[in-house]
Amino acid sequence: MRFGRRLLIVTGLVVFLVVSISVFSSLTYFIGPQIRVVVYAYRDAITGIDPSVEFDTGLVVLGSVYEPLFYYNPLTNQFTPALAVSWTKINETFWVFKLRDDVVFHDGTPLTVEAVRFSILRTKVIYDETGLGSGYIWSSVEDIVAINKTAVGFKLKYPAPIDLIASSSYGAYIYSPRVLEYSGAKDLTDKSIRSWFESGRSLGSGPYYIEYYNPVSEIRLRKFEKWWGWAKVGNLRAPDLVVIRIVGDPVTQVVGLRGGSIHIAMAIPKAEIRSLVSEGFKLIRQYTYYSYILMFNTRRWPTSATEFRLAILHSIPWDELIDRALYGYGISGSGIIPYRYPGYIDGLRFKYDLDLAREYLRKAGLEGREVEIEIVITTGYEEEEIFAMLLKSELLKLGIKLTIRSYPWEVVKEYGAAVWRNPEEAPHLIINDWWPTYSTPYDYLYLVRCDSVEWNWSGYCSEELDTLLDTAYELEGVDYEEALRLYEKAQYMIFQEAFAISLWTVIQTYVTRPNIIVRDEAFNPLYMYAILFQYVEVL
Amino acid sequence: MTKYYIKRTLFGASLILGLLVIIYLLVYIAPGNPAYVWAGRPRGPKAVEAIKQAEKELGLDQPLYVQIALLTARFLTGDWGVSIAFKQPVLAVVARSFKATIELLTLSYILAIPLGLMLGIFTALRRGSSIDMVLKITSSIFISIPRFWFALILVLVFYLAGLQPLGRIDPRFSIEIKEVTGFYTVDSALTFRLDILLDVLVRLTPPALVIAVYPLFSIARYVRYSLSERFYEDYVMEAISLGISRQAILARYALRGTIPAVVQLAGMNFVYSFVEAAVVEIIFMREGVGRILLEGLLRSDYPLIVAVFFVVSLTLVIVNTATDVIQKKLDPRVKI
Repeated sequence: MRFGRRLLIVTGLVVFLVVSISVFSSLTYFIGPQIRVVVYAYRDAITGIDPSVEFDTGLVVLGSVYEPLFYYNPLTNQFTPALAVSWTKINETFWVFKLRDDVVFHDGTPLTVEAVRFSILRTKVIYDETGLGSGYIWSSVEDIVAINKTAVGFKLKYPAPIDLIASSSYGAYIYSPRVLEYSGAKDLTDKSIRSWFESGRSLGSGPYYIEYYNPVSEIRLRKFEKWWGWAKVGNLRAPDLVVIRIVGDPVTQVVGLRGGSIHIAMAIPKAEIRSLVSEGFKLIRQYTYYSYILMFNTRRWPTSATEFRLAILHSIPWDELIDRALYGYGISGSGIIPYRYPGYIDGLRFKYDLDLAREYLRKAGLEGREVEIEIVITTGYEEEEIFAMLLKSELLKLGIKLTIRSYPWEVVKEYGAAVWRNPEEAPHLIINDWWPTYSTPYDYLYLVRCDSVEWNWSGYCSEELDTLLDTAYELEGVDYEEALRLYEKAQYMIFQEAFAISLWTVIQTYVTRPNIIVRDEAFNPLYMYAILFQYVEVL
Repeated sequence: MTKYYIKRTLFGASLILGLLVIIYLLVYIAPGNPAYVWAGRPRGPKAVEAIKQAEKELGLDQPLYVQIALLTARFLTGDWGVSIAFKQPVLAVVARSFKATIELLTLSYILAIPLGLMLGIFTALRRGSSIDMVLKITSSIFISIPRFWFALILVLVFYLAGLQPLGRIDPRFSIEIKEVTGFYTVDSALTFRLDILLDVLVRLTPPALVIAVYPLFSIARYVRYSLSERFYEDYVMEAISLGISRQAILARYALRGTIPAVVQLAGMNFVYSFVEAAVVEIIFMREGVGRILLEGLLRSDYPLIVAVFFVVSLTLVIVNTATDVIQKKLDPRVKI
């Protein structure tokens, strides 16, 4: 028995030790180094940080580390100067941008005309040679030339809205050409530049630089004291350290927010938001251009029949969709282009009408017959799951059995693109979530082109539609109004053929701890998850 | 012994080689296109060309047997390639994560083995009593409890105690710690930063406890059962009749016969703990091998997936060999 007692004492001592360490540590936490820290919980791993190549989630990091020449907000139709202070359109194919003269990159070297030329040409050349990145946005650029020390000229092959292109969310970041030297690269397409960036280094001019980069779990950004904009922003409470923490599980985001490990959360389950707000957390609603587009497989029976597609579209309870699938945090889709984006048309919507749906079903010769179709959705996307469930129950009323298949995004994409090589393998219905690169209607309508075989998951191909889109795109730099009119015409054609329709545009919700203020300027409407942390205040 | 090491090395090498091939085949037949991920979700007129170029760069345009041969050769020569999803050298990604996981598992087993032994001895000495019954039920509950649930409960408990259990280190300390080994506990101790060490330990303890649950209670159950059996064996009875003290009988005779099997049990559990680490790392927002494996699987990142399995299976071979050797040292009757 004495031995047993000793065991108990030892166990008790171990427990005491653990508790003591914990208490002591919690005390040291409060007297630890006092710097302003903000922890942003982001949902996905970061796919890359090469500013010329990255075309996905890396924007969450790049947005605070690099700067374009301008920012453009389509909601307000306003340009905000970034590295350029003004621009002049000399003629249809020549533009001049005046650069700031007080900008330095993270290595201390100044912004030069050569830096602009190097960054943009690298983005363009990489795309031209390999198809990587978003360099196609610069396809109109023939050359970039120095006018003087702070003025840069863009010589174009054909007229293009270069001001809009220069404010793109992807592929328009400027960085120091000294990356050549640091990476030991021979020329701007040398792969060692990409490796240099991806190893976690940055050479931008933004208010933060990368200090630690683990794309799977955590990225730390340090305040760049020499950033030209601190005096202009006037934010003395900006974070000294930004931690972007990858937290895929929404429940963990809630727990982290409540416990204080997370200050800004972007993937809180919608049903939890109300209770968090009642506890004192702040809710931020950001209007985005992030759209969910429903696409029909037009190469597989029965969705190959327009009448059948119309039957399905009239079975969707459109009026309930936003409330039920997005808990009110969204805007109903109309056509393909999202609300308040250039080219948006109001009224390109279908109505929930089961009688009309039955009529279309009869016209398709499918009334009273057993029909089975399938939809593919993305795992973990709560709104897609609810939409699919709603549609399934409505279609049952028409005698149509809908099978819901859920996969990770990469697999969904593969099923979508399968429509071109093997339509029978591709699902009848699929949802494509989409956001723009730069502010042009073409970015959304590109989804329905015949040659967009990686993204046009409907398999629909019309030369007439393609020609219309090409003409509109070419006109953007010459007659923008006429270009918009043609984009509208294209949307009407898509609406009539009923092979793709926007279900909704997301209102992105962020929940923050009470001591965090996020100013309106912190958000980029072109890409919903990138926060400009210089506009965040830590109280 | 030398013969044993040669045998083990050959067995380990063939096991790992076979595993590499099987894993590659599984990734190959699974849905998802690595070339598409490598090309960075291309858009625009050159999207198709980008994917084709990526296929070429990754060698996916080669016949399957060539792909496997190239992969194996690359692995054996130490060229693990670049992660398709994260664009960083696989070796660097795995090394960074492996250190975090090993740090976590080490603390788990520092907690699990002694506590499991103590609990096992304690209940063996009181078998049949109400305390024994309570501990038996408790161990059954803890062994079968869903780990993610237990992890969430621990997070809440730590929060209620005013502690921060999420992440590997306080962000404020993350910019102060000097990385020497990559193990934060060791690095903070080496640089005499007690404040950082304590912060790291507080964040390490709850996930370590979650992982420790299974080995702790399985060791406790085994020790209880094994000791209970041994207490009725002739040599123990004789020792009692000779008036040898209870502690001496337990320490010198009964427990001595139990320890080698406990070492084996801990070794087997250690490998299983890698699986548990995947769940725990995600909930506690920690970096680690389990987490990168999951991310790699979601993105068809086959160089990363194969590398993780390679490292884990290598650990399995090393741990199993080590436990065999330890068992042999502790029990001369054991032949290896």
